[in-house]
Amino acid sequence: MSKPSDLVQGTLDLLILKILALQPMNGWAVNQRLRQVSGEVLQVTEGSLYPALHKLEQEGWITAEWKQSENNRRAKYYSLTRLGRQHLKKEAANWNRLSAAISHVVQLEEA
Amino acid sequence: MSPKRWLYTVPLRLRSIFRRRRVEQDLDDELQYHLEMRIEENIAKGMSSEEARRAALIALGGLDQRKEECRDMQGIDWLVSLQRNFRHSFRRLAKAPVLSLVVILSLGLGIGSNTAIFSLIYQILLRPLPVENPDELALGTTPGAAKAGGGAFPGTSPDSYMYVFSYLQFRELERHQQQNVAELAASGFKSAEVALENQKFFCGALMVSGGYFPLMRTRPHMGRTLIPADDQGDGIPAAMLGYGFWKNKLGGRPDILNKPIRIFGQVFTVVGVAPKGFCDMIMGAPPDVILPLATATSLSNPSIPKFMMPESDNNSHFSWIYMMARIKRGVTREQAAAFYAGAYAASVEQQIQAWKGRLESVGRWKPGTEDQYRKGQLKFIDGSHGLNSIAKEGSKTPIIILMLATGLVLFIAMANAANLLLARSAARRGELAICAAMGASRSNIVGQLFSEAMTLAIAGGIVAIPLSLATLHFLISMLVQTAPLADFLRRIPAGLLTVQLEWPVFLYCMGLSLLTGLLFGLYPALAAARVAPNKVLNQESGQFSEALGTARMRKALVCAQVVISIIVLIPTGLFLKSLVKLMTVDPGLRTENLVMFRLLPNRAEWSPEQSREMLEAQAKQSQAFFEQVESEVAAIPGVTGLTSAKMPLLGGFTYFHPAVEGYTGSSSAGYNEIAPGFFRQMGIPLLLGREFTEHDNLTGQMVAIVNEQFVKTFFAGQNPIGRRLGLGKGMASTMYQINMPGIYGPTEIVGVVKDSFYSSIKREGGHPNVVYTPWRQNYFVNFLTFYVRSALPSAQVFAQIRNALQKLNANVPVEDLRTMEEQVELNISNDRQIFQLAGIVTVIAMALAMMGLYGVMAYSVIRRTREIGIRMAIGAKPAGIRRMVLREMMLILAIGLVLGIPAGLSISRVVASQLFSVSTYDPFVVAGASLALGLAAFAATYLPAWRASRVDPLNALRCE
Repeated sequence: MSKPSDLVQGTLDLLILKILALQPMNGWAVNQRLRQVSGEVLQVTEGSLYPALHKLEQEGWITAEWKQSENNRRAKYYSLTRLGRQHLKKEAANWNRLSAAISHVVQLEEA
Repeated sequence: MSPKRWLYTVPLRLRSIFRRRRVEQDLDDELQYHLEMRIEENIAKGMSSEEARRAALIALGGLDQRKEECRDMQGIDWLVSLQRNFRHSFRRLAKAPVLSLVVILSLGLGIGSNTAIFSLIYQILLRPLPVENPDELALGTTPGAAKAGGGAFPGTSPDSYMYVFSYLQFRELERHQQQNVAELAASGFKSAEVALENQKFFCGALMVSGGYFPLMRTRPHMGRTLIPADDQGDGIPAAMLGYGFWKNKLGGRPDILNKPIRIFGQVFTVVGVAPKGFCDMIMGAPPDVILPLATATSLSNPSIPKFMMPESDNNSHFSWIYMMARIKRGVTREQAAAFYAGAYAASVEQQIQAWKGRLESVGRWKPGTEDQYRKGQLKFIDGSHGLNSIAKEGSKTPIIILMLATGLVLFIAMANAANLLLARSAARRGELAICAAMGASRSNIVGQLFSEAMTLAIAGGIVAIPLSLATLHFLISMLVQTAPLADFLRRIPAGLLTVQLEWPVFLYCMGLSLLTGLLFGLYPALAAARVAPNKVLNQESGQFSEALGTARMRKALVCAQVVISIIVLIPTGLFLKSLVKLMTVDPGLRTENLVMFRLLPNRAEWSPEQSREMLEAQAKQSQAFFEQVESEVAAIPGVTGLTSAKMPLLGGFTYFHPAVEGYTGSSSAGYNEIAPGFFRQMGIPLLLGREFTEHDNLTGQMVAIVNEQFVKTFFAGQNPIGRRLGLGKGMASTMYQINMPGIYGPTEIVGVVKDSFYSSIKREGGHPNVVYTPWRQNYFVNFLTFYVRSALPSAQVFAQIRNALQKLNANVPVEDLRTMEEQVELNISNDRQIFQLAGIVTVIAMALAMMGLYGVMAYSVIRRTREIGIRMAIGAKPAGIRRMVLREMMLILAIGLVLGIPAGLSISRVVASQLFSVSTYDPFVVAGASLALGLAAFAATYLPAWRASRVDPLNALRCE
């Protein structure tokens, strides 16, 4: 696993929340979407997705229900709760501040 | 966490806990779905189905690990591991069932007995009264010293007068009552002889003022309660019955209302039955009958009509009434007290008026008492717990003693449990080291060991529940027994107590078991987890040994158990010696072949307004009946002697203050009324003068016989024959409420007898002063005790007596029919009970302590098997090995005794008042207790020592 992706691991929660904010999804779909949107840059081990989902559920930010999937099988669909939306907003703002600050530092020219 | 989030998270956690299987299934399905999708994708990419599955599993990173991670996220992992720990603990404990069971039982015993005592404390001291708005209730109190008559009554403590007022005082306050400040009411207790139709009962009567039931807001079970109109003192007085008395003694008969009942012969009308569970707030006991306070005067002097009683003797100035108030909301207790201060001051003046003259005339008024009395302020204290605010003082000592005893038992049980765990964790050091080596954290190991302790403690707590109910039942039945009871226990108001575990008591029980688990479990768990795994695994090979610190700790625990054993053994030994002394003491009369019984014929109806003629006619009638009984019983074949006395020997007492010319002290004397020839029949030697004869009757000169002690006290040892004695003058009749013979005539002393026992065998400092008069000179002989001497077997004599009385057809039950030996036994049953109680605690404490000693010694021998083997291989003899083990025990014992004996002796001082001519520093008892403990310790150690001496050196060394 390459170094850059480690940095992003900690923000997995944020990514999941963001993806679920767009539409309710099952675990497999979240996995696919994650790879898709990050252009395969973010190396999320498939398995680590599930503990993260369960944690978010226990925190009350997402909620789950069993539904028919598009291929007509039973799958567990996660969606954002109201609390989750608030949390996402806060975390996204944090992230923007942090990333802006970091890119600012990184772009400093050596004098 | 915000409350809003709980909305989501709490149901999820609950679901994880209670729908475990469903949650697991969901997890399974979810990951399975993912796998299948991945496999399909892989196949689409061109992999074989085998390959696709393998790749999918690898991508997921191990199915079970992921599941475990997800479970961890459910937030109940600690709960799941706790559950696992406990399941594990159960399995471990079940491997040593006997030892675990012993520990659980002893913990149960300790926790159970403590819970029972806590239940007493809760019921007596903590629970508010079962009345409406108990917080509005208050108790009146004033300083007690002056009320005690300025020291006029020897032997009464001023404190016992703090809460009582006189009848007149209360009436004065009641007259100034303002309902919008505070309602006032009064109650007091008297014993009463109650007759309904042909049945007769000896009852506790509650005397209440008219405002009592309105103040308590009591609704009757039946009929009505007493009201202010009942307390005016005119007409036929009203009476209420207690629920228990009505239900149990009268069979709950519904036709009881408006029936006449006689109390000491005086007629009352039943107007109602008190509700179930009603008890007086002061006495804390359910009364049998409840009577208007206004009738207290005539009940205090039963059968003495008004014409014989001077106004000054009507008891109205004696302080015996408790006063309570219900204070209006918004008024403070201080304001209420200030409001009634004026009326109280006026009542004090009345009291001084009433007392001063009378006490001065007998030289017992102490100057300055007036000022002391006037200075005392009326105060109201919190009455929400009723008497318990008062009882707290009285029941403190007995409860502390009981708490101490059960606390010690619990401590011993805890020491045993700690010892067991220390031994077990030492035995498992190897296993724990492997666990640690394989990655178990220290907290994992502590948690595992600690949960074992908690399992033991909780099991102990569960066992404790039935044990505590049994203990409570035993204690309460002991407390409410009518037989003479341990004095120190009698101060606990038992009437209110019930055998049940209320919620607070149950929580106490559970809390206590968790606390004990924490106390005895923490050290062993931490000690075991401190061990460094590499050291253990390097140094040990199959054999186990324990850390030095742990071994020392275990011996210290056993030593503490020895200390406690000796602490309880010494008082028990003192009780035993005291009891033996009581059983062998010379009663001063011939008790062999002597049978006693008591007759209490129904009282004739009377009223305070009765005339002298009626009184004399009644007296003659009852004397005639008793004389008839005498002649019938004397005619029984085999009866060689017969006599009678009013007060049963060793079964009752009356004390009074005799007025003797020239005597200025304040000594009291016991009193009894006897038949002619009493002393000859009872084997009490007559020293001077004569016995009573048939001629000493209502028409003859009033005569008395006194005992040696009386002569020493009142006549300085000089011959008293022909001297005069005042029986009814001055204070005597009113203060001690005796039915005086002839009431006021001067009485001549005609004889002196040797001292013998009066009311109690247990009397320090010699015999009491006693005065005897002939019962034939008393108008009011309402009961009589007969003494029959016969060489026939007692059962036969009993039957003969019953037969003889049946012939008289008197419809009078024979009471207290027993031999004199049984009467002596009964008289010391009090001490027997205390000894039994102490004995039970001691046996339990010692048995548990010896179990601990055995455990430690047995374990120490196993630990030293190798060492013993080497010793034997180089020539040690089995006897030498035994001595070596015993020496170890002796050291523990010696340290325990050195620490325990002083503690035991100082604790014994608490029980000194219960002992009979035994000093608390009795060297024989200390020696005996030490010897008993030594023998028990030897017995506990002998088996391990014997086993040590049987170690086969070859086997012991081959273990390596």
